[in-house]
Amino acid sequence: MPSVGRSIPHESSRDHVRGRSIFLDDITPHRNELVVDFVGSPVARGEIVALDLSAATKIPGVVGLYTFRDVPGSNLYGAIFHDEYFLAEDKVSFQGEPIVVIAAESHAALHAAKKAIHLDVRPETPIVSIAQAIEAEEFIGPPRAISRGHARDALEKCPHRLDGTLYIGGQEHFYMETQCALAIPGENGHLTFHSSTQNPTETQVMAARVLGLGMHQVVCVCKRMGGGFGGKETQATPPALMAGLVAMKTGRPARCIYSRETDGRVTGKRHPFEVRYQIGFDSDGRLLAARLEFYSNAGFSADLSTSVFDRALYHADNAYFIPDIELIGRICRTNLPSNTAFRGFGGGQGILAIESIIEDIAEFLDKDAAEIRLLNCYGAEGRNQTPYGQIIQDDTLPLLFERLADRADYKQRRQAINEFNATSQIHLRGLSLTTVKFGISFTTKFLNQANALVNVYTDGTVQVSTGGTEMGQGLNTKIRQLVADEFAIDAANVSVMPTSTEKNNNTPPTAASAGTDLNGSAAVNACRLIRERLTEFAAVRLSEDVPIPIERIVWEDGCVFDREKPEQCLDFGHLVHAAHRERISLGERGHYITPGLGPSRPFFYYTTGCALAEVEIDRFTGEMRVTRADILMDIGQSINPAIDLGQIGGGFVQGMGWATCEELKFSDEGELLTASPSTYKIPGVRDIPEDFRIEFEQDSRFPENVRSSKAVGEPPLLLGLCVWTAIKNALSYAGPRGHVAPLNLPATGEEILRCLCELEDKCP
Amino acid sequence: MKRFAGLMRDHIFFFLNGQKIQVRGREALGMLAPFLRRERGLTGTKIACAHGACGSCSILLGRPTQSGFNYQPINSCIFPVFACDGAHVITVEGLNGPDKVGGQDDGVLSPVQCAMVDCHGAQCGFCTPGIVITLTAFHENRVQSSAEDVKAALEGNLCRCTGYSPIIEAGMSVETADLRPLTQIYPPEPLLDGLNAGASDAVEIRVPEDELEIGQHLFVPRSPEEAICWKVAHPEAIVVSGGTEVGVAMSVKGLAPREILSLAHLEDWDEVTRENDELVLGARATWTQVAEQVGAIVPEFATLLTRWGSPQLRNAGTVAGNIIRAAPISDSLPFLLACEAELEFIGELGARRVTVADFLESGPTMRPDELLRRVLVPLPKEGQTLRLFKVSKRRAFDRSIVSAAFLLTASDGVIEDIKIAFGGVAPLALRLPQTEAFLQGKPVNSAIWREAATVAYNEISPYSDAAASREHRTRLVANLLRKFGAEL
Repeated sequence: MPSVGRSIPHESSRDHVRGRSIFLDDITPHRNELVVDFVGSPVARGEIVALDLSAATKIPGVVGLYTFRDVPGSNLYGAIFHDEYFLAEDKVSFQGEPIVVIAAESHAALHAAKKAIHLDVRPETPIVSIAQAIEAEEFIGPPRAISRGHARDALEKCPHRLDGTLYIGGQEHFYMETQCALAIPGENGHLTFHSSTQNPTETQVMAARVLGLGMHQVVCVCKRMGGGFGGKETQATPPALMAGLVAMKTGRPARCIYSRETDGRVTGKRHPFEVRYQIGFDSDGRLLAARLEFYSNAGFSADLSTSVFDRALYHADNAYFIPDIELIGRICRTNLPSNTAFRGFGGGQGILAIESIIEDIAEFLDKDAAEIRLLNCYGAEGRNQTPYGQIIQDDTLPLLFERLADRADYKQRRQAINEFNATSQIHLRGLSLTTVKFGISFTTKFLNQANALVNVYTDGTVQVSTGGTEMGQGLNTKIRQLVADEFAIDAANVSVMPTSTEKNNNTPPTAASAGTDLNGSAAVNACRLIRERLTEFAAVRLSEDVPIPIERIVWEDGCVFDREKPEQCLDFGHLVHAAHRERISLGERGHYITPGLGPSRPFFYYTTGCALAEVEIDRFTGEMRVTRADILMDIGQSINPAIDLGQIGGGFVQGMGWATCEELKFSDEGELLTASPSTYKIPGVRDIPEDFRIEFEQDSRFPENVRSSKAVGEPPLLLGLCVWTAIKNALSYAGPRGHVAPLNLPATGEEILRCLCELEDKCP
Repeated sequence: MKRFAGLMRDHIFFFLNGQKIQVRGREALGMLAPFLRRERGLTGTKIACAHGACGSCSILLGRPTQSGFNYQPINSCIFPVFACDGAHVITVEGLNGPDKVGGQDDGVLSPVQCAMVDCHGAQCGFCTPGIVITLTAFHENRVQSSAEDVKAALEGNLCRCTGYSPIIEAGMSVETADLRPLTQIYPPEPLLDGLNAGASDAVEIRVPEDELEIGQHLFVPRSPEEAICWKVAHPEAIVVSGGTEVGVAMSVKGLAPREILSLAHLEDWDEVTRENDELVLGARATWTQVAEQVGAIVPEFATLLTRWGSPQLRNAGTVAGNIIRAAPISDSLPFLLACEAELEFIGELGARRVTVADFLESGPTMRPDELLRRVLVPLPKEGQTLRLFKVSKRRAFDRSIVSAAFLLTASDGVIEDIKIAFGGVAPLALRLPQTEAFLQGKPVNSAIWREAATVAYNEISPYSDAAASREHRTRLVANLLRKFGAEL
């Protein structure tokens, strides 16, 4: 029986439930292993005027204290631009920026050393907000733009126009396992890293650069992560560099595990955005022209901010055709930790802007927002090209939209809500049906490649290694299924091995939802090369004299046989054993590149979906609950439906967390006030939709991608934003008709109550 | 200094996955989760937050009862090792019995573990051991379970991957027929026998100062007399009851008190009873114990308790801790203030009663020799309406932004008397006497609450913090008054 298409449990689940899965801090310590931590800047911006390590050096058990002067290679590094100091030199540019790395025999010595380090930083006034950065003209890179037509002119001619500003907050990843790394020194100057990273190659490249080694001297291994969500795409690097520096200097294994608070304080998050918009439309709600100005808060360095920003622009249309459109903006440099990748990668900020605008248009025209969305979906020729030139093909979105509206009784529920809100003194309800069209591919073209190593053993079992990393999303399970099917064997006979740069080189991060697309395809390519050889071998082996024509060889249920003589079958184990005896190679590397990408086609395809949320808010307290949510997605043919359902449900809840209860608050001094789990609130079991229904189209296929599947990681997170639009919809019932609720993200109870009070004041 | 009558131990002992262990010295003063991981190699217990704020480190704490053990999940990252004295601790590795803890992998899964695999309840796996622990405790002694019950049990376990639905499904689809009760996996008799010797001894652990860390001194008395005597002799000692607050400071802020007085073994101070017209809460009663008993006595308070911390925190945290710490956002104080509850302290001179209002008024303060013994809450009378509110950023497992208590006596549409108390709107929880006076004698109508809000505004001094702004807290005071009125 084929594995693909079946809901096989996550390959680590049996170990997960017994606490037997080994995460980085669970690796048994080496005999002489050191613990590593750092002292960072107490202020967000300033100048280091004094640093005295003498007292700390004398503490028993302190093995080493290192500053930028001890960095053997380049102290400057960065994912795209080299604009970050590994250890601060004379200036500091965010609170917590690492200055001194400490290596110690014990945690007690580490704590004592931290207290004994004398550090004096002269504070300067930091730039914290987007507004401050704009004022100071602190930008990263040039202005960015995508446009079509003449938005400014067109806006003048539109029958109706709305202008506004939307503030979108950031989001902490809150992966359960904090950033961490273990470095083990080897022979010939080699260093082996175990890192909780979505990007082992990045760790390898940066370690080589900063520690002054060749990439051939560095190996980075990642068995698994306790969650990543984008946060470990680039920012797994600093703890690895710290552990690596210590390992190199002392010749001893060294481990660096960030505490939750350190992780909260120093690692980057989802980018906050400010969006200023002007939208023109007609009386039906048809979008005619738009001008959107985006500003993102990048933090102190570029990190991936340029790519994140681009994706925001690429998704500012979401699923809607806007003839004349101008998307522009700037990336703001501030004195915050460097904001980074987070599931959705800017797409969410772009989508939120247009979805918010549509809610406002509905309020303005006194129409149902769902009608306006459907009216504006990409459609037939003339209305099927994105602002960046990509043609939308085989678009199932309008169909999904109508199906979901129908299945979830949108119209009846709208009616019921109208009645409820007219009578209830205590509560307000809201309903919103939104769409997501998410572009799949790295927008940086060269990243759209992967390689895989497949080793078949003589007992008929298989090991596969790819550059893809497992962070809980089920990548390894899917790869196991794909490989099993290529050899028509049971998935139990396939092991997916820890990711290591030793086996797979120059790999892209496991990101952009493309983990299975890229690594799964590469693994399949490797399998097919082996299978081709084995098919030829079987054709000889199964014949009596002349080889059987290749096309007659069938692979099925662990056996290989001649279609015309199925009774004479070769068991896969016997076949490979015999092939090995005949000196046929049972190992292969597969390489895969995403086809068809170009300047006006940044995305291989789109994953699409719709979601409908109903919320109830308390008029007095602003407290909110999601009473029901329905999701319908097109994810092609699912490789593992249970895993994909898990991605959809989990992504949606993460998205609604961003939209509602997760709030990052910084002081004017640039200190994160919500660095602790006591103050930063991710959704709990009580926050999920009380009635939660997830479906995907069963008969959908996308043959160009591996096993006709589509990527699923990020899009459902953006569907979670329908909770936010539903809140906005509920608020629209509070004020006088035509008054737009000035709701920003996150819609915390406080934000909801603020809007309610503002709308109440407008009531006569 | 008085001498203690009882015997003294310089170590603690407890059972860990069925094996008796002794802990002495500084290890006993640390937190359980790092002890399990570093000293015992039991790395299945994960530390994700070290704040007691996520549940990944949940373990089962079995406290001895008359007949065996009562197993409850607690957060081991903020639970001191010494507080395990005399208990049975089961970690995720031990759920299938003492012989399955380490060694060869026989692949055996408990029904809860099976359900988690079959329902795809684990993704990254980091929170999973804690969830398995919670669901195991939930299914102990239970035949059927609704989604609502499972959610209530899981409030203290955060998961960032799954969105919880598969975990709830797992919780509901456990093959209960296959469940082996923990008392069968770990028969209580040998454990109780093993805990017997020295069970009534007090514990005193002294850790001398060394080159890296300060000296520490722990005392775990067996009797109130011992406790008071030691407290007088060590006025600087930090008193630990449930430890959910001090534990966070010790786990996260590196707090290492020189002197610790643990009340862990004043076990019989945990009564939750109704005596005449009063609800009596023993200082050492955990909030879980309170919640179990109080439903029939003051249902409104029982409802509020479901919004309180997490099951793990309620299993460890006690009445005393919540009151004595007197946090502005303490969830109990508005209720106690509105009901005009009294605190009973005991000290060298015997018992003393003071109203909660007076206790807060003065500081909050108590005498150096005193310990809180119990709380006496006059129960709402026939014809009185008690309403309690808690507003938080996240619905469950979050601290209050503002909490409120209203106790109204009205007849014929006129307010005879009202008591109003708020938390989170001033440095300490407080009553609003001017607002109460304003409302007295007024007719019950919607306008009156709006007017009362204006009066209330002058009685509060809300603050801004990470949870909410001053403006929001101010709005909430006005709106909770209105909400109380609207929902009457």
